[in-house]
Amino acid sequence: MLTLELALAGLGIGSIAGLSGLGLLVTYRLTGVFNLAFGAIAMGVAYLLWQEVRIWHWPLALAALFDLVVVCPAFGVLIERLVFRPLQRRVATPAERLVASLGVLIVLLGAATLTWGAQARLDAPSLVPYRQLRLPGGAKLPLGTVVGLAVITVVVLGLAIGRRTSLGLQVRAVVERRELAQLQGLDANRVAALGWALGSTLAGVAGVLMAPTLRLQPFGFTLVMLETMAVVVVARLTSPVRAVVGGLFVGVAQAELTRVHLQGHARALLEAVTSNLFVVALLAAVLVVRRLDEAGGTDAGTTARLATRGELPPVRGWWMLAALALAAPLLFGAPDRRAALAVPALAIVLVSIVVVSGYSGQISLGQAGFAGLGALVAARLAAGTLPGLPRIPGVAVLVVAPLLVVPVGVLMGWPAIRRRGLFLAITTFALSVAMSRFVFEQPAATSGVLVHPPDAFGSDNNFYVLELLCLAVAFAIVRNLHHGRLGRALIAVRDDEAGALACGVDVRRLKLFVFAASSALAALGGALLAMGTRAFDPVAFDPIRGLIWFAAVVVFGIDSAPGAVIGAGLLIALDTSLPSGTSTLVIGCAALLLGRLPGGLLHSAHRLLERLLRRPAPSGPPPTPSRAIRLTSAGRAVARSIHRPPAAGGSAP
Amino acid sequence: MTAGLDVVHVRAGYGAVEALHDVTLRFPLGSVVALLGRNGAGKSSLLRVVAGTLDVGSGRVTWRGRDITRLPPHQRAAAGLTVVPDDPNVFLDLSVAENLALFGHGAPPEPVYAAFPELAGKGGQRAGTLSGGERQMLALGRLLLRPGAALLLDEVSRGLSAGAVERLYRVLDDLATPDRTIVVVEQYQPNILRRADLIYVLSRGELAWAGEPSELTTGALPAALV
Repeated sequence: MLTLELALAGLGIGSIAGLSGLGLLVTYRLTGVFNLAFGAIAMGVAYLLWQEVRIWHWPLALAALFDLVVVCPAFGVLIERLVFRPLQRRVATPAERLVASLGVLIVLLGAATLTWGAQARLDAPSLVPYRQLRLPGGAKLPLGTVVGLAVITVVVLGLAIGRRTSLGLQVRAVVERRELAQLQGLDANRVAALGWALGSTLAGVAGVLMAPTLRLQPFGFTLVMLETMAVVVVARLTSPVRAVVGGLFVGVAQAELTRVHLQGHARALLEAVTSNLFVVALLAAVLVVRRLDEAGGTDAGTTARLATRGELPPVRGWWMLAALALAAPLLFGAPDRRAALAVPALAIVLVSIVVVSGYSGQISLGQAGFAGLGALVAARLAAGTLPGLPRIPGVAVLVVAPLLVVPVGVLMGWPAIRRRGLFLAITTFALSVAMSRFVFEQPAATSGVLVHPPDAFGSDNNFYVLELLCLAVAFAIVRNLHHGRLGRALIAVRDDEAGALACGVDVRRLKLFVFAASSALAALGGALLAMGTRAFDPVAFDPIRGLIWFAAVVVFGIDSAPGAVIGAGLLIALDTSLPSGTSTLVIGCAALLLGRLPGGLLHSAHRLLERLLRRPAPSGPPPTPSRAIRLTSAGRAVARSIHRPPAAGGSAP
Repeated sequence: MTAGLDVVHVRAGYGAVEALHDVTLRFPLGSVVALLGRNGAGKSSLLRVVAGTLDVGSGRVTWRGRDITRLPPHQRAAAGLTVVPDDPNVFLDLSVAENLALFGHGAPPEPVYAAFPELAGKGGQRAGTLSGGERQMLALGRLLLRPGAALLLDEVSRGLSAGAVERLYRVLDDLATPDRTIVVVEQYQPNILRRADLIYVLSRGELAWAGEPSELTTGALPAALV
């Protein structure tokens, strides 16, 4: 069955995928950050080259040289300086660094959408002229494949040699223990900047080589680049050779599968598998690979803590703002109210992220998958076209559909039992990509699906009220999750899993429960989202959209449910009033600022307000304590009894 | 005694929690200083302030008369401050030989293998697979390869056998020259008390006691330590 010709054709895609995965892996090894922005940098550089060559009519060679030798390294140095160095200074967790790289990704996506629009372009300039090389034996090999393989060889050899040099040693030392490396006299900032420069250059190379074989489109291109994450997981974040071999293997397999012909449903399935073989590989990889070798020691990536409750005072009083934002649309005119329908729905989806990531510390980048699934299941239930189930009338859909999604959530939570931090993030993202590619984008699943609100809630006003009710129910559930015994157990798991285990918390069951609850919430939100627009749009539940939602939640305070509402309101308001891409850009910029605004926007705003509203002392300079004093609870009680103003008519000594 | 390392009116901490409250300590050249105190007394924070890995809120740090308060850590290392921090003091993912190459900036590692024969023959082994004591010896290797003019050691005797501690202090004896400052941070270690010229005791982020070993018998020291 295998043919040499197809294998050679497959090497073309395989080599670029291998190169892309290699770049991601090298960036990780050079910087200690799993750079989710890798795909977006590749996309940005590919677009830039297109702009220079197709619009400005620069000579191709000059443009490519400028992009890869000047723009890419400069961009790498820039993000190191502005984004990752502040995070290093306050010893951020790997999860926070992951979100920062997510910020870079989102900023680039937003900027690209604003600049070039969301439509696809098919005329990306090809760096390598199309020419067939004749191999001994008569087989032909495109020049592009040869170039791809040559670049890979250079990178792999460069890595193998560079590792042994003193510079390589310095890089490894800085990535593993930055502070200790500095004590040895290494300029860690310079080493890190070098790593970022190299990493983004590799991203640029992969993007420029990949562009001619793909449609140039901000979200789509980035996602395809991110799918090559598969080979990085196969390489367990360490072995460049395994990454390359993995990429080549999937590429060749993809080409060979085109020879297989089936009939009927099997044919559609096979076609879906073939064209999305990297997604299948990613899914298989995250399920089969048991452990990633993360940089910075064995337990570097295990702390998924994004919320820093212990170090930040709790934020109160923002419920008012959230409630106000929700009540406002009832007074809006018809078009604005139609747009506002998305706010409570999106808020519920964001709250589902707060539950899984904020309260229990499990990074889930896959909520878009649950939301989309919820939308699809609800629509089919209402129409009675879900196989094996009767038609569900009216509002009951909003109860049944989330319950039907729960098993999927539990399935997704299953890998989470053993995974934390980065690996869990990759796993959940992979599952969301798989859902998008194999369900939302399959005509068999989505064609003929009609979405409309439940009968009694057909008018926008009524539907909005229904949404508010759902949001209230969601908040009630969330409140129960965050308080009492269950809430304490969740926080224990978030802050120290081993410690929670030692205290008798059934971590396994708790994690599954959290994933189940969060998936049901996301499904509810997704169903409402689709009903509000009266259509099922796969783009609305794109995995990249899920990344943006996650970043939005982190930006507005990952453990803050009112923050999720305010975030949803802001996202929708920006989307409807300003050019598409603006909201993405805003969320991205805010995510980049996390290094300077610990705890997110809400916490920072709260601190600022507190500082502004704090009343000056009535007379004279405020007493300065000789040192910062932290009281125990007993101490606080004593202090209260001392400072308590005398009651009216009380006796004075 | 000439000006060595001076920490003057330093306040520093982590977020809302201040770990050092207006601490002033002087470590003259040519002296061996013991910095003692219980857990949480601020010893390691003080070392991090000197190394430059913990920002100073107010006050200053000077080294041989030069203000280094705002100097980044790697430039302090270049200026002769050698800090061996607390626990993660070797690169676990690197081999023993690679660790020593980083410590010594390429100097041949033989002196370390001579002083600590336990490490000889383990050059290719990953530091993460060493035992606690071996790791400590590896961390001390940098004193033998490229000792600066100020050596600051954070609880280096922890996890070492009595014999290894004895060897460690013999190494320190050899390094104690008139143009060098040695600061040894310990919870309690009789060895250093015998050798120190000066003893500082920190308690709750403040200097609780300062004096010479001969004054120890007065009984003032144990109050802050025990």
